[in-house]
Amino acid sequence: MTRGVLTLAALLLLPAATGGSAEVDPPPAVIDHPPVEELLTRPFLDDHLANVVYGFRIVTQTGRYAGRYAGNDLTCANCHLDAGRRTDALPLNVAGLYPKWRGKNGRMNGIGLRIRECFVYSMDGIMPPEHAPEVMAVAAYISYLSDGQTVGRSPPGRGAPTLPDTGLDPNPSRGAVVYASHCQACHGDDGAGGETAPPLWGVLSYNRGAGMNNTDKAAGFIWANMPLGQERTLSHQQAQDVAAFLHLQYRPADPRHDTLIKMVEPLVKGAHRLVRRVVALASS
Amino acid sequence: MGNGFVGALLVIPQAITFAHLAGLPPEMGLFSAVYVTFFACLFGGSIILGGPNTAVSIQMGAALLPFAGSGSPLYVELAIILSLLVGMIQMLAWGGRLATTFQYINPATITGITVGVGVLIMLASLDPLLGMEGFAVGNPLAKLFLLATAGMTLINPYATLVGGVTLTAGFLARRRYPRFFLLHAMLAGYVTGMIIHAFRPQVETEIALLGALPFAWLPLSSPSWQWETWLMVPRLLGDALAIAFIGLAQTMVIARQLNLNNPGAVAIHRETFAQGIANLLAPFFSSFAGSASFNRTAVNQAMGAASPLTGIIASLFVWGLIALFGGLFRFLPVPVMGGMLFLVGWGMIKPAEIRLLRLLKREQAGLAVTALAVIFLDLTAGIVAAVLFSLIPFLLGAARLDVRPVRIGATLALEFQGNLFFATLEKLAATLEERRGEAGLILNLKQVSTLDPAAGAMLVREGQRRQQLGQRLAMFVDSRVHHTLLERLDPNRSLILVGSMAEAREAMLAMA
Repeated sequence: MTRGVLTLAALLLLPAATGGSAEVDPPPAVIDHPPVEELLTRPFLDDHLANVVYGFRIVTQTGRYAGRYAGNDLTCANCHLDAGRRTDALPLNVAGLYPKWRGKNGRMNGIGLRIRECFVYSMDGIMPPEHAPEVMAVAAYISYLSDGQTVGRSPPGRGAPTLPDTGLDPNPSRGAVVYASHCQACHGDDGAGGETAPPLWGVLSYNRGAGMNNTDKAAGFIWANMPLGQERTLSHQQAQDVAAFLHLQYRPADPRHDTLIKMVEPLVKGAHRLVRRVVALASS
Repeated sequence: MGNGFVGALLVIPQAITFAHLAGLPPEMGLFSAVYVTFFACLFGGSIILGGPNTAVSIQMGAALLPFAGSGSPLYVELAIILSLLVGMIQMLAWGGRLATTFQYINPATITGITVGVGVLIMLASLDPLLGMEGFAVGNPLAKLFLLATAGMTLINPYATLVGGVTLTAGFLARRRYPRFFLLHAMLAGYVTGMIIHAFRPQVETEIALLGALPFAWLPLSSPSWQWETWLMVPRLLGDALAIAFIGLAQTMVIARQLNLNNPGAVAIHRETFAQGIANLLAPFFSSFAGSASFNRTAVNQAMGAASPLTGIIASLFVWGLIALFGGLFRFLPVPVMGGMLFLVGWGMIKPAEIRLLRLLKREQAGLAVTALAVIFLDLTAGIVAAVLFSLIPFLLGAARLDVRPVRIGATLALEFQGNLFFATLEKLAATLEERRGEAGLILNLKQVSTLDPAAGAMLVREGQRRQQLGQRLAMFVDSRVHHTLLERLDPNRSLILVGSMAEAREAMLAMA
């Protein structure tokens, strides 16, 4: 309470102190709610917090908790690292930036539409209805993470860094070498992922419409976060090369254009999963 | 076997649609179709087929929406607790042998409730049918007004196309296949959805799709045992009562019809027990409360089912069908479910039944009042109206008091027949007033079954008045209880209480 009053006082006094200048740094975010991990241990949660926890579960175990709409083997937390709480790894504390106009669909986007589109592209699934409980839960979780942020102001470390121009074109054949030496151990030689790493390509990865399919964005994300535990060890050029290599691999079609292919893909996915299960059974 | 297969085929679209109506995930509807049907058939021992039900589902949605967002974790938890409560109440009804009381409920009012629920379902179906998901307007008039004034900006044209095709197909198929038209409607809507999505991506059409059904063979679950959740019980109890009532009422109507054709086909107390235990066990199998279903039982009967085995096989077939073809439901457009809901609601309004009741004024009024109460207030109000209307004949009967004067020599004896209680006081006062002139009066209360303190006090006052005037009042009271009551009310002994008419005459003679 006192902290709140102080913050308010600071907010009121700051313009006076700096002579009413428009360029004022926002006060540091005041977050007075417990972390989600603590909520998980509570026996009873009210409607809002129960939705926050449900949203956290969807983000970390998408297939299990939002399997209704998700279509591949990824989880949200595969890209939004640490369940959307790590800076430079597409953090999810961005509720204050919505609604905003996005060129991707050429219309005003509320946080709900943004979440629903993740299910269509990155999760290669179907678009949930506007008021699907899953969408509501993720929205609640995102709002929870955004607590203390200034509305309309980009939070620090939003998205992934944009890499500077190295002067060289991204080269997928060099990227293949980078992949073999830095990525393959976890993500597998066929990019299908494994116990600890998500699939990077193939029928059960993100589709051509996903943001990660954009080479620049992928390169920034890879440079800032990969290999996990040795972030920022790749050079900018290496990150761009491996992103170009990823771009060349097979992945599900863009649902905006290839409607007929999208109708066949579920069958391919089903067959793929069946074969995988049979192989796993045979090998065990 | 064939019966079971058809039963399973019919229940799947209904289960998904009714779960949607209740605001619950579709797989819960399917689990209900499997487990509630299974337990109800197992314990019921008749050909009644149960499972997810229209009135129960719509009331669950109305009961839970004030407390949690539709389909949210808390909502599902409360739905499970509500089902448990319904099961408990129905078990109490079984323990108290209350099933027989349903024969006192006027069938016209049950028809009224069904009509009201049908209209509610048609109104509720407009949201998914026109692609206005989440456009939650409870008041039917407000909803129709909004649709009429701002409908063009609210509806999703693609969803409306899919819903419209579903509806048209359903109404066309209804004539030729009165039992299976829902399947035709679903198929037509599904194909329309696929054709639309072959040309326009779903991100553009924004037609809501059902999504994958996480299927489990044994979806064990458990109600929340947190006391915070159970604090909600008092607020859910009214709705639980309404749901338990409407579930049992429908079951009893079906039982009555089956027993008409084939006396002794349904043991009503056993059926009550079966419904109760099925709903009580539902929360442990990720299911929600259900009830017997008119149309599925009718199909079951028409296919020549003779034992509860058909229902059990049907519930097993639901498993099989979902395990094999559940993947197809992923692309089932939600507007198709809206169309099916509309058809179901439409089917609940049976013009022939209503036209028949038009001959009887009171029945017609009962039907209209219950239907309007359900539509404009809620199901609970409709049930209260139904109970009140059913009570009217009994009230009129109970409030009757017949007086037969008999002259015995110089004294007059009044034989009362009926009940002496607050509702008949006026008649009693008028009768006594009329006989003020008689010097001796005998009241024969032998045929009176109820005597309440208000009527007793009036009799005592009359006795005191007559005593002051030198007239006497003798009373023939047969019942021990009435005797004691009058004695307590009359410390001055102004009434002469006697045990037989002979004694009464003697008392009169002694006085003279």
